[in-house]
Amino acid sequence: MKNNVLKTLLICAASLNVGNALGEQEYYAADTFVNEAFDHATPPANSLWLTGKLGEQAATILGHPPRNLRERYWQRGNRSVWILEEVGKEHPFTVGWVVEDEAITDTKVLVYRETRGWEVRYPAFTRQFNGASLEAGMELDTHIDGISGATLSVRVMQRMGRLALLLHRHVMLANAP
Amino acid sequence: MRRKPALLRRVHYWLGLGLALPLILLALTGILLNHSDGLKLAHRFVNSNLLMQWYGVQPVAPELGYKLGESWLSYARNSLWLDDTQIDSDQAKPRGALLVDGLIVIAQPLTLGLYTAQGQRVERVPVPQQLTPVTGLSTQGNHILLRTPGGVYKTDTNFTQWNAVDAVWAQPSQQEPLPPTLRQSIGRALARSTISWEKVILDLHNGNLFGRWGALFLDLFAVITVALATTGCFLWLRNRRRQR
Repeated sequence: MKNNVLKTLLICAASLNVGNALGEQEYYAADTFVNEAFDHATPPANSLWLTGKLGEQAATILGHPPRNLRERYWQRGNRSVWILEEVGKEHPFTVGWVVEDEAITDTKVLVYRETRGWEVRYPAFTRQFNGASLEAGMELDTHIDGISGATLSVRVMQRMGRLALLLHRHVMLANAP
Repeated sequence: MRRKPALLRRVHYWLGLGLALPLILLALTGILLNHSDGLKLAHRFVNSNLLMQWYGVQPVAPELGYKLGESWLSYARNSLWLDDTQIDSDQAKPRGALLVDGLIVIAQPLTLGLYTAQGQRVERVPVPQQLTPVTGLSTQGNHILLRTPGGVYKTDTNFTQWNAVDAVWAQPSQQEPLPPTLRQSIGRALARSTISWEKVILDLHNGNLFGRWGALFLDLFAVITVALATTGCFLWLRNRRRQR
């Protein structure tokens, strides 16, 4: 009994240590986000290679070649979920995106590693992306209000939103009958 | 005969002259810092031995690494290194690394990192929360084995299924001492990526580049600036009264 308690405490301590090892703050677990997006009936993950024309379009949106050669996603019907990571000022942060019918329906900052700009995780900010879709020129058709002191993080969020919409569109076109 | 300028006016002149250079320096460094993000100063590094010595940067390299075929994977300052090239930053310490079907698989506490043999990142696969933190990596045939607090788990090559197995935890990926020449190259590369231009310019702007004396020197200039403004106001007021 004593050993079990000790073991549990050690595991908890190790988990906490892992989360803080890089000064990063995990607000939401990626698998929980994906599960909730599909009402706890998560479809198997797929992968999309960001090569060729898609890779070029992704690079145009991000302003640099994508960090990943392929992105993992989950899809059922017209809904897809993407976990994307981009560098804000110095460190990457991770954001979950749910896209349905060509529009963003949910956004959550899952991990934030920067020392400033963490206000982008607040629902008051992320809610602005709901309903946003891509217009010509791969821009968002919705205006996103900035946050003072979090300019870079806001810009990166906009880029990630555009990328999630682009990838969703690509997957839907590829699966179209 | 030409009149000698009054004491106040002379003090004002000399203070202004003395302040010219530091004010120019403050203005220029201030402008650069204002545009630090656009100029990406935080990501541009100083490659000057003199400055590295000034900051006391010593080449420190990792001692251990994972042997992956002909290459070595090591971890230093939150970054992953393939031989003497940094392939990724902001990473947690690996718990194991293997070369599987030409793909480098790196086990980290919360994720599996997949990289090409040349070090290009393919993706980072999040490990299900209930299996974290991952503490070890091994293989069984074409499958990857992960050691977790809840036991050993096997995953398929797509990393979509995670099944508990009774496999014996044999031949886990383990670190070995890095070759000395590689350690030296990594050490030099690490030293070259230590001091950003943003840091140097900021330290020049606030005087910290010259330690405590630099800050005191700037304090002195701040006091002189106040004196300059004050004497300037006095001179202006006096001239105004005279003109009346």
